[in-house]
Amino acid sequence: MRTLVITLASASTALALYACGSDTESSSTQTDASDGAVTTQNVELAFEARVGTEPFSCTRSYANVGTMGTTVEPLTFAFYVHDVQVKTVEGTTVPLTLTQDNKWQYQTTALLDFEDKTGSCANGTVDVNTRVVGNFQSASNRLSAISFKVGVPVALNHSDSATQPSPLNLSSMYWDWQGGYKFMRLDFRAPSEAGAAVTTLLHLGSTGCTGSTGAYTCTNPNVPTVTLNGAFDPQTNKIVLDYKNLVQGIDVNANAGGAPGCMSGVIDPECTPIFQRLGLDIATGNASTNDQSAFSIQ
Amino acid sequence: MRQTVGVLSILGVAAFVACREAADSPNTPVSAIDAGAEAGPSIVKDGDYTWILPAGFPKPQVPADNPMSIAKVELGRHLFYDTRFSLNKTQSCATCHEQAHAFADTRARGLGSTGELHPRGAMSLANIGYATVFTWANDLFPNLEKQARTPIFGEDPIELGMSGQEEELLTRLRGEPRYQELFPKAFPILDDVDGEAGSEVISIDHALKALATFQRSLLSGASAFDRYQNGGDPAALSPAAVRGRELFQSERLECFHCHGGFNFADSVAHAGTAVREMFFHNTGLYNLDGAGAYPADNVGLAEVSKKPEDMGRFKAPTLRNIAVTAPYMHDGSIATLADVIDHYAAGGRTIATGPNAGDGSKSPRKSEFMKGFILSGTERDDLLAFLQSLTDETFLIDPKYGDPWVRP
Repeated sequence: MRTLVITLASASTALALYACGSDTESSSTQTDASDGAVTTQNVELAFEARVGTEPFSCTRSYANVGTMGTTVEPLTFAFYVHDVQVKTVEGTTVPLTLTQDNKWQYQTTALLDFEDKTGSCANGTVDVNTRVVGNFQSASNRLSAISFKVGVPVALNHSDSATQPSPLNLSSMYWDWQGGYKFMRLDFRAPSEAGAAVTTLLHLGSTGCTGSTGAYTCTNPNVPTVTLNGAFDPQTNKIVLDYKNLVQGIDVNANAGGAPGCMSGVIDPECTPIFQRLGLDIATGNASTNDQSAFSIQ
Repeated sequence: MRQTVGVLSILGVAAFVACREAADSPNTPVSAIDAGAEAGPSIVKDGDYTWILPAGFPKPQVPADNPMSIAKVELGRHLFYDTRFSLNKTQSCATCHEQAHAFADTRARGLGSTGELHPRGAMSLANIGYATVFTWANDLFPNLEKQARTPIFGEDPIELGMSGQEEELLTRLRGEPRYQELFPKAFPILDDVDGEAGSEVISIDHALKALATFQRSLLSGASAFDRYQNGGDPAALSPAAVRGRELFQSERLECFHCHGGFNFADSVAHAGTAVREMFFHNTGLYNLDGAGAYPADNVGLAEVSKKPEDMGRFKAPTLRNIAVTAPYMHDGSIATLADVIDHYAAGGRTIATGPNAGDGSKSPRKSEFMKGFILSGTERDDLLAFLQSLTDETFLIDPKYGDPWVRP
């Protein structure tokens, strides 16, 4: 676990701009309230993007990815989460109220953005965000489970991105063809010695949408619910999304059909194994019988 | 390392209220793009200036040190059309940025005041106030104020040719009676400090600020497409254009990835923007050496960054008014919109012979979205009809953007 601790430390340094303040630090120390009174508990949930066991970076490549053991390099890595809930050791589950920072968090939705425009992430943004910041009402701040949904809530998904506040106004995360957002945008490429690179673009979003701004309906919501059980210490644990796990059932050095990669198409051959790892049924876009495996607590 | 365990039923409630049951395959092309309800422009006061924002347009981003004002827009309009900005008094900004062509021109490549040909073509200034990238391939200009220096004072290539001629330019501007009035009105604070409308108020800094302010006022959002989308007029688009729009928005064609959103462009910012996005794309126009090389005078962002991976990466321009800005691409090397569509359908351009020969579709530098597609003849016509529906005819003749030096 040494590697993880070092990574967390460097991530914290990089994010020193966040004015979470001393109250966050003090409250993230795990102490049970002795009198059992419900109080406001501040918390920062750290997220980490990984490819297998390796931390995500725009300035390196990753070997042995996909069914053919391909070497890939990242283009972008970002996803929205919403409706974050925490369960404390007494067994109560409460919603996390997100700090409204006018940048990464709006209402119950947060954008996690790991690419920093360096290296192969040429069409990215310099800004990164690797944590969800908020508070919850509980007598204890000792967490025994965390859950969240990936994506943008349906009530916001079809609003006009041009007039939405940040982080819902980024053109790179808007998905014009379905009138909503890309819930998850994980784009990688496999460099080729002869000509154009093979790209695997993973764009998750609601599909089968009809309507006009503000009044769409979609047949396939494609909103994964992620539930991570187990003690979570905000000072040492983080929520990890493993790209290698997500694409381990597909060949990332060839497009088997449909969009290059998976753009949430029902009959796109790459989508079925990816959706399975997100806990989604590809046919309906609802939760599948198997749990997701791409996110974990580490 | 802990394993992820099963779904907690208490947490796993996913209420997709607005989503109906899957009735048909969502993989079939969907109409996410019906005609919208009527929504008029929004009126936003900004000091004494009034933004008339077309429906769906956010408030533009304006630098704190150069707020909008009626007087500054008017001064900027005068400067924009003033040939005193070229050393030989033959050209103004408007020479290459003609209103009738959405403030672009019809040349493949710009022609400077001394006859020098620019490597690239003049870009449309429609909605330029929303752009984060102002020219074809330079990510170093933070705003329009800074960008405006280049065409005026740049030496390679020479555009207006004023390099080292700041005093000459100021003498000319100070000699114009209209500017004696317009500059102090546009920059009244300095005027107060001085106590009189002295010559200092007519400065290069103020001229650049006024030019930027005028450019920010150039809003274009009244095309047939807008009337269809927001104007409550479903008949504004022909059935062909409606079909073309579906093609444009499809994952098959991928047009929207770079030409998406209200301005049909991706490098966009506005007052609500917190994360600045700047994008450049290699569309496989050239592949001189099999490694993706572009002609030496037009290597895209690599010219500024000197990074090999930036070879051939250019800004995706707005597609608003695209039908009146031919020829196309940074070097005007594609004559018509139909040919542009064919270029994207091929996933890159093949040039058989000559110094630029090469197969752009095999460029290792090309964008991940340049994968090519097959269009029927009808579909190509439909897509063309949609692109043509993006022309805002009123923008092209609106007198408030016209030449103030011409008396009717």
